[in-house]
Formats: sequence, structure tokens, C-alpha cells
Amino acid sequence: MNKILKNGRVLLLITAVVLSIVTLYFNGISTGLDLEGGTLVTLELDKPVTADVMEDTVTRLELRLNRLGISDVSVRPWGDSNIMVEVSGTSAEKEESVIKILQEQGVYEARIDGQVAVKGSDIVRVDPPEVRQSSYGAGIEWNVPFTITKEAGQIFAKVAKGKGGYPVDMFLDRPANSVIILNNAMYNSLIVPKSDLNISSIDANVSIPQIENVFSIERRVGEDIKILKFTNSNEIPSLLKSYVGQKDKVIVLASEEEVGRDIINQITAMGFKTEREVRGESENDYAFFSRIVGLMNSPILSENLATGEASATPSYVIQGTSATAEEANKETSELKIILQSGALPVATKIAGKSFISPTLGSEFIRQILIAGAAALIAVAALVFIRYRKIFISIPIICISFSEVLIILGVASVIHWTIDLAAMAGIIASIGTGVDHQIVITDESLMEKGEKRRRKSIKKRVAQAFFIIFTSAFTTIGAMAPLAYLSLGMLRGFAVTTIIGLLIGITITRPAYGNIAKIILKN
Amino acid sequence: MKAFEKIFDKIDVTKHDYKKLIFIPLGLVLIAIIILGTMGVNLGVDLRGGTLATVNGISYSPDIENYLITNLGDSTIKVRSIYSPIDEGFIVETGPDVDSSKLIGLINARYPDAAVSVQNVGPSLGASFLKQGTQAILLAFLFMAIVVFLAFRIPIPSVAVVFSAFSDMLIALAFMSIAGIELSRYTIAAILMLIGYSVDTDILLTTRVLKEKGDTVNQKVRNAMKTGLMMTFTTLAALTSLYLFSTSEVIDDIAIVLIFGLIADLMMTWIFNAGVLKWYALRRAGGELDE
Repeated sequence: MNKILKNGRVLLLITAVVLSIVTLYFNGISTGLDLEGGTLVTLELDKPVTADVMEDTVTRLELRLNRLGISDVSVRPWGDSNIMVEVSGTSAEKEESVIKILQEQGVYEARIDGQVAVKGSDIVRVDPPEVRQSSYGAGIEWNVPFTITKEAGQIFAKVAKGKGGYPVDMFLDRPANSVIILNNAMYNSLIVPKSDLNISSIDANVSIPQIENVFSIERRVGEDIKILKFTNSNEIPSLLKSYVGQKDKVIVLASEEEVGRDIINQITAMGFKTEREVRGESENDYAFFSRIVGLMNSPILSENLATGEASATPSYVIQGTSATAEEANKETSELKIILQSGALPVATKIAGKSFISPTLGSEFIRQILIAGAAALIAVAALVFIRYRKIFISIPIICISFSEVLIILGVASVIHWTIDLAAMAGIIASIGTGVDHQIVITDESLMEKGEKRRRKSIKKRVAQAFFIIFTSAFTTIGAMAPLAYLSLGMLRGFAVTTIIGLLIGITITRPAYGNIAKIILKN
Repeated sequence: MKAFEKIFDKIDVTKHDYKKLIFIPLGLVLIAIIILGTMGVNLGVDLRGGTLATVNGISYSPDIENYLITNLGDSTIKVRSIYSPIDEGFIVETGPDVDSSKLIGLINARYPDAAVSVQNVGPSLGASFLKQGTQAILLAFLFMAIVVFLAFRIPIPSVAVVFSAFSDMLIALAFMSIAGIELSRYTIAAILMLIGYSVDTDILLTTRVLKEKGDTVNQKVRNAMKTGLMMTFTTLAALTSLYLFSTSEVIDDIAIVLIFGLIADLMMTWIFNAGVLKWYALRRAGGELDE
């Protein structure tokens, strides 16, 4: 035993297992959509695009999808003509809104004091943003120039008249003609703002007037959006009575504990389209509300635009300062996307979508754990029946188990997502692992009457490793094209199998080879 | 080890004339080709386009099919039950035109507590999955063959290994065709795994026969077979427990395809490949009788 533990290869294995456990404990492991539940939408672009256009498209989709308020919206390119959108842990109703956002063009609207000042269709052109070092000192100055039609310029001048210093509220996908329901506390904190206005880009030349009531968020969202507060969730249906037939949609900003499912059903039964929105992680009242109404940005209206005089060439500039160039770039590109209504540079259509219920995902994990344990027991039983030696069966099972741990540890370090396909890959490499250990065992075991016993253990183990390396490389060769071709989920399977095999031939098989050598010598 | 020896003695292929035996696997490959030629391969929903809904936590009742057909207006809808000792449910398959959110709605209306998963793939996406899958299998063969040739550097035994792996795939595909298992992204993964697993035993056999000195060819095949059968049976045992305990379509399909592929591989390795190797080794030894 001592000899085994002091062996270099075995020590390497033990170190790898310990490191994996530590990494798994601190780093955790990200599980795939099919184990966690969620929505996966595959978009197909009209034509293959360059990497730049792809990145732009992805950014635009991300910006619009962030309205869902789920931290785990992942949009990633897949080849040059597909995009995968993953939203984890969603409900079936949420799936519908994901699809809606992906299918529809965004609607941009800028409002001053609740009045529509600019509509997305008015915007003729958005020019490339300018970013430069501030001439006053630290910070980066930036501006986003855009031009609207002449007619729209007149409307803008009229709406902006006398509103210098007001926020110009820029909405994307504003929920027009709806009722927003929120609890008393949230209502009070929104309607009576205590601190600043949370304006992310402020024209440096304009000071904020200290009259808070003027900027009541209730006015700013526009008249067609009604904000209703409730103290008791049971009163919601009666509060809504007067809006039947008037408003299309009711958005309830409350968790299921606060406003039960029965209330939501009652609202739907009244003829409203009903949506429940839940506060995102670390979202304050203002940010939560802004997200729901689609309030993306609120630059301050400069005094010289508030004269009421329409300009002959209605071009405007949104100015701001950011601490770093990186922030400035982010801010400007986001503004640009908002002004363009989130429009995508290339037409897309939904090529496929999956929805996995969260309960099913966890059920799969449970099943695989049970099935995996059963598989391990079955293998252990067979190995014991065959060799009748406990000191051969135990190392085989221990090593297989440590292989699982190391694969998961590596996945945790490289942030590889474990999904069903990856689990199949783990199973595949464990299966190969057991096979290879059997090869090592049989090569090392001497049987009576075999002439090959004349060879030394060392030589026989070397032959075992020839078999193992050759077969490992055939499998790696078979999986490599799949890993490269990126066949969606199958890529996970191939990459996990390759990781498993590489761990096998570098760490676990040599360790087992040495254990076998030591055990069989005694 | 006594029981093992007894069983092993009964299935020891080296006791029979390899020249006659070799026709059994070759016949099987021929049958597989005929089956594939006449019945073709059933493409899964993800490769041909359509919607697949998995409903868990609900026991299957046959009338669900009619309920969905009448409400969705798609006569191609098929429902089949899934079962494992720890869970049950059913799977719905529809054509590409069915709206998947409508499908979820209908299932939820009837079974409010069921866990539903839906996978919808458009026809063009399915076509690109199929294309990539075919490419992956072809390239997998190519790379596997290259590794085998590099390892052994002798043409005939290497070709025998590659041919065995190829036949395993054909037999597995033919089995899928008969059993109604569809070729999906997951069963493509199973086919690729099969290439990896089946080649393992062939490499073991070839190494033992070509690289070892001393024993007779029969003795070498016998020794290799003891190891190889153990390898295959541990894998089969693991796959069977996966198949029995999981209700995941993905895991089930991968497991069952591999199980049949590996059973076919037993024949391909220990009858076909062993036969070819024996013939080759005897010829190399100058026709000496080595038995």
C-alpha cells in the first residue's frame, strides 16, 4: 500500500483528484440548458456574414433580450449563418416573449415629459459615434449624432419647447397602452425619487434642475401606460375593472408569492393579455421599472434645443462623458443600437427552438446519477466475477470514479458546460477507461501455461499501453471532426470525450498501470 | 475463475474452422446492406425538421394521440410511451408545421403538472445538421483509419480493423432501421462512439496476434478474446443500466444503438477479424500449420 501511495503516477492522480474537488467546490460547474431547463432558439441568418456583422447582430440581440431581466441570456454565433439564443431557467410563458423579441423589429421612441418627441421611423440616419479624450481633464467625451426628417424636427421642436434640462427618455419596445401593477412600496419609491435620476449620460453643459416632481416617472412613461399600486393582491381584479376594454395588456411586477397564480388567471379572464415580471438579481426599483417599460437611456435636453424653433437640418447629438474609453465605446454603440430600434443588419428567421422544463432538467440529473451508479455497480460486479480478486476490482472502480471527478474538474476550470451530450461523453470515456484497465490487468496477470509469462511485467504493461494509446487515438480521431464541425450539442459530446480520453492516457491509465505492476509483483 | 473458463470454452471460436466461420459475419453485413438498401434510414425530427415534445411525470394513455391530432390538425403526429423504473411519460412527434407553443399549451391544458420539453427544428436547420453529421461520420472513419494504419503499418490487418468498424456501423444502422429508431444527432453520436469502442477490441486482437511471440496463433486469439469479451461485456452492462434507468430520449437512444452495435462487434471482431488475422499470420509463417 505504501509503495502504491509513493508512486509518482499515483501521486499525480491523487493530486489531480484533490485539485478537481477543490475547483468543483469553489468554482462550481455550469450545467447546460437541457439539465437546467430553459429555452434555446436557433436563428438562421439570411446569408452567411462576416465576423464583424455577426458580432454586431449578437450585440443587438443581447441588448433587446436583456429586457427579459434574466441574467442568463446567452447569445452566441454558431458558424457564419446561425445564432443560438439560450435563456436558462425560464417558464413556458417566458418562452413566448423570447420568441416575440427575436421575431419582431424593435420600436424606438423618445419622449420628453411623456410626450413623443422622436419616433424610430423618423430617424433618417445615425452617424458613427465620436469618442475623444476630454479637453477639460480626466474622462472620455463622446457623442452620437443622428438626423431625423424635417417634419419630425418640427414635432421635436414643439415638444421640446421650454423643456430644457428635462430628460429625453429613450424607450425601446415600450409596452404601449398597458397597465403596470406594482406594490405600494415600489410605487412610492418610484414616484417620489429620493436620490438622483439615475441618468447614465448627462450633457456636461446642463445642470439638473432640483424640481423632482417634474420628472415624475409616471408622467415620463406617457399617458397610455397606467401605473396601479396595490396593498393587497386580492384587490387587483377590482382595481382593473375600469380598464377592461381600454387597455390591452396588464404587467404585474410581483413574484408568485406576492401575487398568486389565481390572481393572474383572474386578470387573464377579464380579457387582458397578462404578463408577470420578476425583479432581476440586484436590480433596484428604478432599474426594474425602467427595464419593464423599455427605458434605455435618458440624456438631458440641452437648453438651446428647447427654444421651440425647428432647425432646418434636424440633426442632433447625444453627448456624454465616461471614465474609460471602453465604457464610452459601450455607451455609444448601445445608443446607436437603440436609435436604430435594435434593427439587425441582416434578416433572421427562427430555424429551431427548444424548451426544456426546469423540473425535467433536474429529473434528468437524478436519473443519470442513478443510472451511472447502477452502471458502476454492474461493472464492478462483472470485474469481481471475472478476477475474483477484490484488490483488482477496487482500484478499477476507484480510478473510474476519479476519472469522472477529474473530467468535471477540468470542465469547471475551462468553464465548459456540462449538458446531456457532455454527460454521454463522460460515460463514453469512462467506458473506454474500464476497457483499458482490463487490458492492463490482463496483460499484467500471469496465467499458468502461457508462454508469454516469460516476458517481464514491464514489457507486458508496455504492450498494454501500445493498445491503449492506439485505441485512444482512434477515438480522439473519430471525435475530432465532430468537435471541429460544431454540430451544436454534439460538439459538447465530442469535446468531453476527447478531454476524458486525454486525462485517461496522461493521468489515470499510467496510475493504474503502476498500481497493477506493484500489486501483481507481490 | 472456473465458471468463466467453462463459459469461455463453449464460445471459443478458435475451435472451429475459421474459413467457414467467417461467412457468418459477412452474411450479416450483407443482410444489413440489403435492409438499409430497401428500408433506408429513418431520419429523426432534428434532422428532417419537426417538433419533438417529451412529457414526463404522466402515465401514457393512447387517446392523447387523437387529442393532439384533432386539436393541431396534423395527421402525422405520433405519440409513444416512455418508461423506466423511476419515471414515466410519453413523447410526441409532429411535422414541421406545428406551432410548438401551441403544442405545449395543449399538453399543459390536459396535464397541468407534467414537465414538458419541446424541441423544434426547422427543415433547413435539420438539413444542415444532417450534412454536418454525415461529414462527421465520414471524417471520423478517415481519421480512425489513419491512426490504425500508422499504428500497425501493415495493410491487410489494418484494413480488417477498419472493415470491422465499418460493418459494425452498417449493422447498427440496419438494426435502427428495423427497430424504428431514428437517426438523430444523438444516434449519430452513438455511431461515433461505436467506432471508438469497436476498434478497441480489434486493436487489442491485432496487437496480440502480430506483436507477441511464442504462443500459437490460436492461443493468442484465445487470450485476446478473454480480455476483449470482458471489455465488451463491462461496456454492455454499463449501457444496459443506462438504458433501463434513464427516461431521457438522448441517453436511451445512444445506449440501445451502442448495445446492438457492440453485439455485432463481438461477431465482427472474434470471427471476422480473428479469421482474417489467422489467415494472414499463417500465410506469413509460410503456410506452416500452427494449430
